[in-house]
Amino acid sequence: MEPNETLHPAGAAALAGTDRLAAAKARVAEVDAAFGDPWHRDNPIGFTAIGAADEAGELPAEGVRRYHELGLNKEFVPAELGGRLDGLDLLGPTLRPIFRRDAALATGCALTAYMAATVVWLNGTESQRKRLADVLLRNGTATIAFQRFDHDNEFVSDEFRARRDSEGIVFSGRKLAINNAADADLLITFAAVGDNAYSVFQFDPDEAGDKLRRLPRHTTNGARGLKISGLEFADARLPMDTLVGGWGDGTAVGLRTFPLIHSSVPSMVVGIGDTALRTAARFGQEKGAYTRGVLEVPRARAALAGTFADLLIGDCLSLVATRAVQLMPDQCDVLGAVVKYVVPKLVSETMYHLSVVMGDAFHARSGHNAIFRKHVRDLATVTFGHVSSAVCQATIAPYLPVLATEKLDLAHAAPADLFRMERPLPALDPAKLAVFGGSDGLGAHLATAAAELPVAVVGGAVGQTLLRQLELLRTELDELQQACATLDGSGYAADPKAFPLTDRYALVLAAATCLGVWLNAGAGPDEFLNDPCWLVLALHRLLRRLGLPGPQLPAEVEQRVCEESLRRAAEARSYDLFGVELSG
Amino acid sequence: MTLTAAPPPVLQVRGPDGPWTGALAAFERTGVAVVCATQADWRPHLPTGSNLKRLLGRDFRRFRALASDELRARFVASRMLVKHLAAGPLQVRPEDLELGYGMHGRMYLRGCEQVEISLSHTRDVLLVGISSVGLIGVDTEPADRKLYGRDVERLMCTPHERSELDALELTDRNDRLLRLWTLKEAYSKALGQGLLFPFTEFGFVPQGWSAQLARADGTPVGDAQWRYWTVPVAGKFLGAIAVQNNRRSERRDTRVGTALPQRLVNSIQDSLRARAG
Repeated sequence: MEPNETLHPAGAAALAGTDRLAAAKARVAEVDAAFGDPWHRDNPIGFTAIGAADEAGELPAEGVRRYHELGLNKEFVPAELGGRLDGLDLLGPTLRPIFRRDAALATGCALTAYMAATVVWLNGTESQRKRLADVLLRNGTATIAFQRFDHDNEFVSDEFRARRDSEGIVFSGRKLAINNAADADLLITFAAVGDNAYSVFQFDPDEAGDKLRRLPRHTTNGARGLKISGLEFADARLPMDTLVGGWGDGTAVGLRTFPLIHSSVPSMVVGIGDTALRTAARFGQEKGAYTRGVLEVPRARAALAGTFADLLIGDCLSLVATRAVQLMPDQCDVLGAVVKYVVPKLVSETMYHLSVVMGDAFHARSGHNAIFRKHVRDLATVTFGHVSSAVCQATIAPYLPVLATEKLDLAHAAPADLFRMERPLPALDPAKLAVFGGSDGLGAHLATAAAELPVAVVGGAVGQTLLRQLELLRTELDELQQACATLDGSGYAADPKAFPLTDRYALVLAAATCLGVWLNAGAGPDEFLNDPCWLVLALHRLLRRLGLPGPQLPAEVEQRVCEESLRRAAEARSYDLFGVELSG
Repeated sequence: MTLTAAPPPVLQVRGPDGPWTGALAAFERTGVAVVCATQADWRPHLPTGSNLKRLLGRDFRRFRALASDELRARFVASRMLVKHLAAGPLQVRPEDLELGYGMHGRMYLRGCEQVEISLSHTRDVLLVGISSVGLIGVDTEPADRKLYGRDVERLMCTPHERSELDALELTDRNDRLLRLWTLKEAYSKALGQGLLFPFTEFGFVPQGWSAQLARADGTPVGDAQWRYWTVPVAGKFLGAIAVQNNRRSERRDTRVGTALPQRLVNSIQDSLRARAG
């Protein structure tokens, strides 16, 4: 036998795939290392300095400098335009180290520009894409301004408007809260163009000359270092080539963009939860959760295990939804919306739950424990809260009457590659986005996966628990389909009964992503992740949130996950599927 | 819409027909409304049969699992009160709403994040709060409940609170303890932690009808986002309200009918219909 024949083609692909995963993990470790040990008091971008910058209403200057030194803008610029964006699934984990430290720094440097850029990558002309890439690759700033929504917050309570004539575009209106408005080299903005229609534009605000008035800084409750301010245009003349996409196509532009933003932002946000859990685990270990060892105190053990399970749920959801954008574009709209709807809530609940471990230190205003409260404040601001949830529900709700008739069988189940991060992804094709109406590959996976459980697992108490949980989830999915069949899907207005169903469906799909990642060893071989304990705890928590009391958990489940939670704090490894080595 | 320094009025509602106008006006004005009710008032209005099933929805399972008629009656009255209160600002029918429960029992309206709710009951009284400005927690206890002298203070007070308590006249100590207890319950419920957040790890410093959150050593936490109040409830009860003022809008719209951006829904439905042929 020739040596090269020992490698089956699939084996060779797997090897190449392992390289993808290894390279991704190495990049995450590199980014994390560049920001140094966040717990070190003298680190200029450690938690002490970050807290001081937040108090002063500034971004940590050294953090901004290192962000650009690392060339992190490149992470969300497509490779063909000179960047490093190679698969949406790797973007979130790569930016997670910044969110771990300071959501304001991450939003100020990366998140806003990423959202703006996504609009242009998917909808812009070659020259518009090139113009934006040039700005980002020279560490310039791009920002985004959204349209007004009825259920508003500071970022979407007002909007610009535009009209066109033979000489070009006339742009006007005022928005009070745009992140980085004062520094932006490029503004990507939605503007009302009459008759309930929107268009999207990209231009340098200075092009408006004296038709632009810069408005004062706007302060927010959370992420106080963000430099948010307003812009007011008075019939500014813009050239026609500032229009991104077709005239009046703003809604379609938004719909094409949402799955990318919705799926990847929650992946970044897992980093906020990482720090909350790490702070609590370190604190618990230092204080022995008041008197006894943390593992001996039931409510501390439950909190440390449960919150870790929640972060893994968040990572599974993000992984699957980001990969779906390229692998199952006809299903990625609903999946992205599900992820954005669920994950910020999970992370928020996680942080409050850790109060049982933190005790008095939950309210600390100085020292490194103060980062905990800052993260609690920042999360709502950077994830947009109810406004974003409503946009997500607007995507899920119209699909529910379709869900009622979906065939949830093996033929429709999502492919294994969806769950496996080591597998390369096909190129992103904007033409395949916002088509809607794909089937439910994750629901089908959940409905059929029980038969695929490894025999070795099913035999034990944990495996039996898992089987029972899958039964309950299958029943819930059946009931959901029945309930969706009764919805009035005839008009455009959503049936009020659809609202609770969007929530239940999102939780069921969350369970499906956890199962899929576990069955397919989605983040590569890992002793803890291969063991079903984390999965069983994750499903238990999702069933509870669905209002379904699941089977009682074998004692080893919580014990195993809590031990790993403490181990990752002690060894400074990330609270996600990667388990990557961190600088602290 | 402004949350004032004064406590929200606690308005008593006699049945499903209200009166609701006071609560709706308070909600419109401040983003927060708190109502109380007695089970005696609501008992004649409790639905049965298919109406009960429709009102409770998925809560019917919980209802069936309850051990006594008394518990079941209280369960129905409390869910009815919550749904009728929320139905106003959300502009839906009460039975369209579904209650969900967080990991540690925090009640919420499933799929309707524009408002937060909180429920407390003791003896015959129900207390419910609703907020569109952030988290809310409410708690109520009988004003004559005896806490002092039963070692309760050791289990629920911070060292600072205990020293403050010791400095009070003996006759004032029970009232103070009751006040601290209800404030702690309200805050812990707002955070979704029920009784899990150890009560000896955070404290309150009462000031008039309001209170300041404090650390175990009595240092004020000084979080301007939160407000805490003590309020009288239905004559013989004491209540506490904790509200997070995270308001991010000048004209908060809480209607279900306007929650989903209509342009997106229209566009998606057009695509779905086109694909369905």
